[in-house]
Amino acid sequence: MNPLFAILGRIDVPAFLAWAGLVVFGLAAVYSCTVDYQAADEIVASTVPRAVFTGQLVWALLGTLVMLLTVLIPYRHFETFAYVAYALSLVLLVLVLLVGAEAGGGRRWLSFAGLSVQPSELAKVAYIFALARLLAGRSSRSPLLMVSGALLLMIGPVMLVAREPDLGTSLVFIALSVPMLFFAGVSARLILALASPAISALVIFSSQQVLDAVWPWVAYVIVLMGVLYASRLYIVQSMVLMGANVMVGLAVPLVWTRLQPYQQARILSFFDPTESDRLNYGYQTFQSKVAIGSGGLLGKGYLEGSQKGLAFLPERHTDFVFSVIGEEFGLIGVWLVLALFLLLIARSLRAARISRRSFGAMLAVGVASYFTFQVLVNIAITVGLLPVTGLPLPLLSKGGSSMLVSCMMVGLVLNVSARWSEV
Amino acid sequence: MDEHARAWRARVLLLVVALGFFTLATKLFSMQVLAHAEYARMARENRQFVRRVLAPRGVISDRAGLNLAHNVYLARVTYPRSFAVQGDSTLDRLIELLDLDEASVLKRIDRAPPGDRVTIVRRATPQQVAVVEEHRVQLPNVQLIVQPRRHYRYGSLAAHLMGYVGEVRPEETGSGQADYLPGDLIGRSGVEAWAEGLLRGEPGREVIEVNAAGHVVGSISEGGEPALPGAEVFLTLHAGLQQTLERLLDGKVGSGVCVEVGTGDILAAASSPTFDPNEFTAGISQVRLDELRSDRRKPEFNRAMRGTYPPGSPFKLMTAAAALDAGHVRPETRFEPCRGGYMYGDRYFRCWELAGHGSLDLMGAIVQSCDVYFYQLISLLTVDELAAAARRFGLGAATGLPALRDHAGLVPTSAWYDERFGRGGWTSGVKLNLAIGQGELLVTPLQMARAFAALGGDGLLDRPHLVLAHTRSLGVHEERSVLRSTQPVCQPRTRQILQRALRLVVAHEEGTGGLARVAGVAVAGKTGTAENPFGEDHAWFVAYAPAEAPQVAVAVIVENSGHGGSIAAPLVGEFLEAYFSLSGSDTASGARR
Repeated sequence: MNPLFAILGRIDVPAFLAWAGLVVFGLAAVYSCTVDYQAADEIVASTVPRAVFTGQLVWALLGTLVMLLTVLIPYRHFETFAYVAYALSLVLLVLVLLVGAEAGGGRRWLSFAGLSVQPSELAKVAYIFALARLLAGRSSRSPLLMVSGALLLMIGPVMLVAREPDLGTSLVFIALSVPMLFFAGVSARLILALASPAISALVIFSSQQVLDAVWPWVAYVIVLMGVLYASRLYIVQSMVLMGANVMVGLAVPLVWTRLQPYQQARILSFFDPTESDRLNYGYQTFQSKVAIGSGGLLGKGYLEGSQKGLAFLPERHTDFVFSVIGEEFGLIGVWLVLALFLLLIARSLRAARISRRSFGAMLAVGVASYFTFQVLVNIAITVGLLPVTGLPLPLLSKGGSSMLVSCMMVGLVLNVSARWSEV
Repeated sequence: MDEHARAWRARVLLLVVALGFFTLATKLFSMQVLAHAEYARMARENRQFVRRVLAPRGVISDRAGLNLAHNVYLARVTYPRSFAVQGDSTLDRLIELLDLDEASVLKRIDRAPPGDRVTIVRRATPQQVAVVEEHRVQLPNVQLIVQPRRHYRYGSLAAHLMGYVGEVRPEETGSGQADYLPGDLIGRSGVEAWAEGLLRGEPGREVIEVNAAGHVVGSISEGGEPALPGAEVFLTLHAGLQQTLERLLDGKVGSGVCVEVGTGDILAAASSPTFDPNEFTAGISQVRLDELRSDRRKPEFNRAMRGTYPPGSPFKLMTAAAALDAGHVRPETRFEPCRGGYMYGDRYFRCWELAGHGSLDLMGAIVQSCDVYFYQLISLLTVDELAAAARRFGLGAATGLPALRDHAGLVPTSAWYDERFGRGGWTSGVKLNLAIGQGELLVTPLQMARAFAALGGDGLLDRPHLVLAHTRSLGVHEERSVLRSTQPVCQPRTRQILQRALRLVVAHEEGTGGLARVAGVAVAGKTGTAENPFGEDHAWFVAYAPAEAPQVAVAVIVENSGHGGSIAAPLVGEFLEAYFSLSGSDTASGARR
C-alpha cells in the first residue's frame, strides 16, 4: 500500500466516529430548519431556503476532503510553514478590514470568485500552528519567555478581529493560548496571576453595572494584595501585577463608554434578561431557552419543533443550531452531542499525551482548546449562561469557513495521533 | 518535558474540560427535565393566542319575518403606515396584484386617518381577498381586516324605530355587564339600542396559532368557545304597511301611527322627514352629519312617539266622554246655537266655522266639529274632571311602550295651572281652549292612535308594542305580552254614543272626515285642525276601522298644512285601503307569527 494512504489505517477511530456523528447531526439539524412546518391549520413555509442545506452538504463534503488531506500531509510540514501561514492570516485579517463585505454592522467576510470566507476562522488554525511551533521550540525557554511570545503572537489577530468587530472570536485567540501555555509547562499560578487583570476587569464591570458601586473591586484589590504578600513573590513582580490589576480596573469603565451600542446591549441583556428585553438581544436567548426547555427529555420529534418551525428561534441554522437539536431531540439529543464533542476533545488530549513530537502535542492541545472553547461558549449562550456573541458551533452550525476549519482541526488531531511515534 | 508531566497536564486539562461539559449537561437536564413544563408552557404561549370571536349581530325582521336589518362583511386591505411609502416593494407588489391605480393609492395613504395601519382598499372584492390570501408570502405585513357592518336593507324604512349601530366609545368599554372592546358595534338608538342585549349575542373565544411574525397560521379547537349569535328580533311592524305610511307622508312634515286594536302592536309608525341609518353605519362624514343635524325639520326626530302636538278636535271626544260619563249631557242635548263664536266673560272664542253651525245636539257637534258647542259643554265640567277623563284615555302619560322612550305629552290640571301661573293667576277660561283640544294640551300621535283604538274597541287601553318576539334560545320567544288597562276609557254607553258619532264624521254628508272613506269598509274617525301658535295649523285625522269591529286605529298628523279633513283624512283613507287590501292571510293579524 502507498505509505501515504497507509496512514489512514492508523487513524483514531473513536475521534473519527465522533467527527462523523457530529457532522451528520449538524446536517440533520440544518435540514430541519429548511423544512416547512405543519402548524394547526396550515403549512408554514420555512424562511430558511433549501439551498442552505444543499450548500452545507457541499461544505461538509469539502470539509471531509480537507480533513483527509490534512491527515495525509505529515504534520511536520505544517511546522515548517507555521509562521508563513500565520503571516498570511494576518494579511487576510487586514484585507477584510479594508475590502470586506459589510454585513450586520461589521466587516467579517472576504469574497472572491463567488466564495465568501471568514479570515477570522482561518486565523484560528494559523494561530494554533504558530503558537504550537513557538511553544515546541527549545524546551529550555523560560515560562515568561513563552508567555511573552504568546502575547506577541496573540496581539495581531486579537486586535484585528476585534476591529471587525467580532468580540467573541477575538477572545478565542486568548482562550486557545491558555491551555497550550499550560501544557507547554507554564505553571497554573503564573497563568492565574496573568489572568488576574482580566478578573479585575470582570469585577469592576459587574459591580458598576449591577451595584453601581466600586467597593467590590476595591475589596478585590485588597484581597489580591494579601495573596501576593502571602505568596512571597519578588517585590518587582508584585508591583507589576498590582499595577496591571489597577490599570485594567480603571480602563474598563473608559472602554465601556466607547463600545458599540449593540455590543453594550448584548452584554447588558445578559445581565438583565427581563421580559422587556425580549424584543432585543434578550429575545434570542429567551427563545433559545424556550426551544431547548420545551424539547424535554425526548424532544418534540425530528422536524416537529414549533419554536424552529414558526421562526421564533433566531439564527436557528447558524449560531443556534444546538437549540434546534434540543427542541427536536430533547435531552437525549443534546447529551449525545455533548458526549461526541467530549470524546473528540478527550481523543485530542490523548493525542497530545502520546505524541512524541512537541509540535504535534501542542497542535493537539490547540485543537482541543478550540473545540472546548467554541462548544462551551456556544452552548452556554443557547442556554442563557453567557451573553450572545455570534460564535458558531463547530461542525454543526451552517457556515463554510467554520466547517472547513473545524474539519481541518479534526484532521490535525487524526494526523498527530496516527503519527504519534514520529519524532 | 518528560512523559510524566505531560500526562499529568493532559489529565488536568481533560478534567477542566469535563467540568465545563458537566456544568452544561446539568444545566440542560434542569431545563429539559426539571423545568420542562414551564418551558413547554412558554413555547405554547409563544405561538398561541386567545382571540375573541365576535358574535354575528342578530337580524331585525318585521312581523312576517321579512328581514329589515342584517350584517354584511367588508374586507379591508391594510398595510403598516411606516412602510406605506412610494417605492416600497411590497406596496408595489400589492398595487400590481390588485390592479390598483398607484396615484390614487398614494393619495389615499396621504389622506388616511391616523393609526398604525393604512387602509389600501376600503371594500375589497371577493376576488381581491382571494388574491391577497393567495400571495400572502409575497405580501408580508399586508393584513386583511374583515369587519361586519350593519346594513338596513330598505334604507330609511322605519329608520326612527330601528335606530342604528355605531362603534362603542372608549368610555363605554370595559364597564358594565357586557365586555365591549373598542371597535365593537353597539346599538345607538331605536330597537338596536333597546334590544342590544338580545341582538349582540355573546362573543366567543378562539385559540389561534401564530408564527414569529405574528401571522395567523391556524386555529386550535382546544380551549375555544364558539360565539353565541345574537337573537333575531321580530318587530310588530308590517313592512308593507310601514312603506305605505311612509310613502303617504313623503314630502310632508308629520307622522302617522297604526296600532292593532286589542294587542297594542304597532303595525306602522312613520315620521317624516326621515334619514337613512346606513349612512351612519358606513361612517357618516362630518359635512353630511352637520347637514342632517342642522335641518330645521329634524329628520332624526321620531315624531310618531316623541312629537307633541295640540290634539285639536279629536280631543272633543274626550271632552264629550267626560260630560257623558258625568251625566251632564245626553246625545240629544242642545245649547245655544253656534253663530260663529262664543262670548265667555269678556273674551270672544271663535268657532272654526265663522258662519256658525246653528243649533246642534252632541252628535251633530262632533260630526261637524262645532267649537261653540264644546265651549258651552265645558262649563259643566271642571279642569280636573276634564284632565281625569283625558288621562283615562292615556293622555298626559307615557304609553309604557318598551323599546323606545315616548313622550308623555301634557294634560294640565288645576294644580298644574296653579304652579304655572300662581294660585288665582288663571281663570276658568282656559277650559274653553282645553275643551276643543287646544291650550296647553300636548299629545303624541301614538297616544291618539291608542286612545282611539280603545274607544273603537272594548274601551281598554293596550300597552303599545314594537317588538313582537325574538329567538333568544331555540324556538321563538314571545316578547310581547298583551297588557291592557284595568279601567275602561269611559263607560260602555258613552263609548257607544261616541262610536256612532265617529262613524258619522266619515259617513255623514255633513261630516268633516268624508275624505277618509274606504270602499267596502266602514271607517270611523275624527278630523282635527290644531291651531299652532308658531305657524300654519296642523292637520289631524285619527280613525279606526272597521267601525263595527275595529282591527286597527290610525292617527296621522301633517304639520303646518291646513285642515285635517282635507289633508290628513285622505291619507288615513288611503292607508286603511292598503291595510284592508292585504289578502286575508297576509293581513297584519293573519301574518302574526
